[in-house]
Amino acid sequence: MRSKFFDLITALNGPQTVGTSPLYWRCFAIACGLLLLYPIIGEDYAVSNNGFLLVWVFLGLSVCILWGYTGIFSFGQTAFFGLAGYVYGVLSINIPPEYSMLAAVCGIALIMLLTAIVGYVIFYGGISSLYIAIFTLMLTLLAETLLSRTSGPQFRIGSALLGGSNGMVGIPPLQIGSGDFVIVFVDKPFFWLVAALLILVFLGLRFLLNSNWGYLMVATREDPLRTQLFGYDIRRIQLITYIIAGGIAALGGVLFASWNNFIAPSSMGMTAATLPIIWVAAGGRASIQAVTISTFTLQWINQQLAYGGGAYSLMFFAILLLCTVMLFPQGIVTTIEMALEEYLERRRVARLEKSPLLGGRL
Amino acid sequence: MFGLFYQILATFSFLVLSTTGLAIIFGVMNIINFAHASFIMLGAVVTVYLVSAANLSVFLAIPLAALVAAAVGAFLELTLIRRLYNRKLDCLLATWAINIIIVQAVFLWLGTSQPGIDQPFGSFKVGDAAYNYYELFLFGCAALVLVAVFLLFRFTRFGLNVRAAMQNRDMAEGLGTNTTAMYLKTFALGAGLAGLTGALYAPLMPVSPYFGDRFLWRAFTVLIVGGADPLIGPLMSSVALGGVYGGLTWLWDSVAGSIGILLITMIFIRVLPRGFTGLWDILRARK
Repeated sequence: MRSKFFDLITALNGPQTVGTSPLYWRCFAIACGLLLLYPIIGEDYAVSNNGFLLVWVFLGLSVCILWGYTGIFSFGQTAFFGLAGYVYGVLSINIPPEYSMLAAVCGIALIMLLTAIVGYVIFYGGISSLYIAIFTLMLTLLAETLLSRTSGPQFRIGSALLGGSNGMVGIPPLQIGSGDFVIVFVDKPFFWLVAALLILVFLGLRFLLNSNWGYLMVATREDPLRTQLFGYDIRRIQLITYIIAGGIAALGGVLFASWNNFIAPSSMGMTAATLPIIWVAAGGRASIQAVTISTFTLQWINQQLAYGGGAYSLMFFAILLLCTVMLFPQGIVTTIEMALEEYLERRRVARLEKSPLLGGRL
Repeated sequence: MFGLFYQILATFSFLVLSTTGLAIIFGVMNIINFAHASFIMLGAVVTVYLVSAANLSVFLAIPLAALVAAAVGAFLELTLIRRLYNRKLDCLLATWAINIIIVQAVFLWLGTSQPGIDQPFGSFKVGDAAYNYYELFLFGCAALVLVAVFLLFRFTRFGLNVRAAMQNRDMAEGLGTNTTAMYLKTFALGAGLAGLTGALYAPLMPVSPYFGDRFLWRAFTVLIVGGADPLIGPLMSSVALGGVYGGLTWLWDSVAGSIGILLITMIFIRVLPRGFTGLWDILRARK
C-alpha cells in the first residue's frame, strides 16, 4: 500500500516539472487542502469570484503545454475556449437542466474534434512555427468576426439565440441530479468543482509531462529534426498534444460559460487572444506551476485594474509582456523559483559542511 | 459586370498595400512584425491630424504620415528589436507588446473617435451604381508601391545587399555587408509602407485607435499564401485572394468572402506550405 503510494508520487516527479522533494509535496498537499477548505470560511461573493479567476488557469495551462513544452506557439486557444462556451450554451439551453453535464462533455468533445481538424491542417502541412502563430490568430479573429454577424432572430439553434456581438444569454449553470437530489454549481459548489478539476488536471499534466510522452513533447520542442531522425513522427506528437491542449481550453470555456451564464464573441477577440500568452510568458512558459500562479495573480490584477477603468489594464499587460521578453526571458515566476531553489541548495550544502559525518568539510 | 471588376480591383489594392510592409520585414529579416497594425493606425491618425488641425492638403499629409511611421519604426528597431534577432518568437511577442502599447497610448491620448476627413476626387457612375475615383487612385498607388519595391530590390546597391543577406546572412556579413544597418533600413521601410497604407485609407474609413486591426488578419493571410518573397508573395497572393474575396463578396456578401479566404489559406497551408514563393521556386527550378 505504502509503496504503491510512493510509486504514484514517483510517476508525478521528473525533470519536466518543478518540485520533487518531500517538502514540496507536503506544501502542495497543504495548499490543496486550503483550497478545498476555503469556501467554508469565505463569503459567497468572494468565493464565487475566486472560482471564476481559477477558470482562467485552464486556458493558461493549455497555452503552456503547447508553447512551453512542445514549442507550438498558438494564439488560437482562446478561440477553442470561446467556442466551447458557445457549444455548451447552445446544448444546455436546448435540453433539460439535469443533463447539463452531458452538454459540457459534448462541448469538450466537439471542440477536441475541431482541434483535430485544425491541427491536422497545420502540422501535417508542415508550416513554420511563425506561420502557426499567425494562422491560429487569424482563425480566432475570423471566429470573432463571424459570430459578431449573427445578431437577429434568424440566427438561432433550437431555442438558443446566438445574439451577434452582444453574445448569447441565459446559459444555465452546470448541475448534477434533479428534483430533491440536486447540486447546482453556483457560488461555493462552483468553487469546489473548479478547484477539484484544477487539481485533477494539474496532477494529470504532471503525470503526462513526466511520462515518456512528456519526453517526446520536450524533444519535439528542443529539436524537431533530431526527434524525427530517432524515428518518432513529430506531426503525430504535435497533433495529439494540440488535441489535449484544446480539450483543457474547452473545459475552461465550458466552466466560464456556466459561471457567467453568458458568452460573447469578444471572448475570442484580439485582447482575449493576447492575455493567455502574457500569463504564460510572464509566469514562465516551461512550468505548469509557474503558469498556474501567474494566471491567477494576473487575472486578479486585471480585475482590480478593471474596477479603476479598463483603459490602463491592457497597457499594464503590454508593458509587462515587453519587460518579460527583454529582461526575464524565462518568466518572472520561474526566475523566482530558480533563485529559491539555489538558496535551498546552498543552505543544504552549508549544513552538510558543518555535519560531523564529513568531519566538518565537504 | 463592372461592379465585379471594381470590387476585385479594390480588394487587390487593399491587400497589396496592407501586406507589402509586413512582407518586406518578414522576407528580409524573417521576423513577423506584429506592430504592423499600429504603424498603419499611426499613419491614419497622423494624416487626420495634419489635415484637420494643421489644414494641410491630403496629398502632402499622406507622405508626411508615412515618414512619421518610418521614424517610429526606426526608433523601435534601434532600441528594442535588434536585441531580439536571435530569438524569433520573442521578437514576435515584443512587437505584439509594442502594438498594444502604441494603440493604448493613442487611445488614452485621443479617445476612440477621430474627426473624419473628406474623400478627395469624387465619384462616377456606370449604369446605376456609383463608384469612387479614389479607389482607382489607390489601385495606382498599389501598383506604384509594387514597382518601387521591384526597382529597389533589383537595381540598387541596397537591394543587392538585401538579396544577398536573404540567401545567407553570415556570408553577406563576411563579404562586408553591414547587415545591422541594412536591417534598420528594412524595418524603417516596412514601417513606412504600413504608415503609407494607413494614410491612404484614412479618407475611406473611420479612423480610431483600432484602425489597424481590420488590416491585420488579411495581411497575415496574404503573407501565408504568398510566402517569404517580398515581391512575388504580395503580388501573386493579392491577385488570387483579391479574386476570391472580391468575387464572393460581389456574388453574396463579405462573410462568404472571408470564409472563402479562410478555405484557400487552409488548402495552401496543407498543399503549399511555402505559399506562392514555394510554387515560384518549383517552377523556376523546372526550367
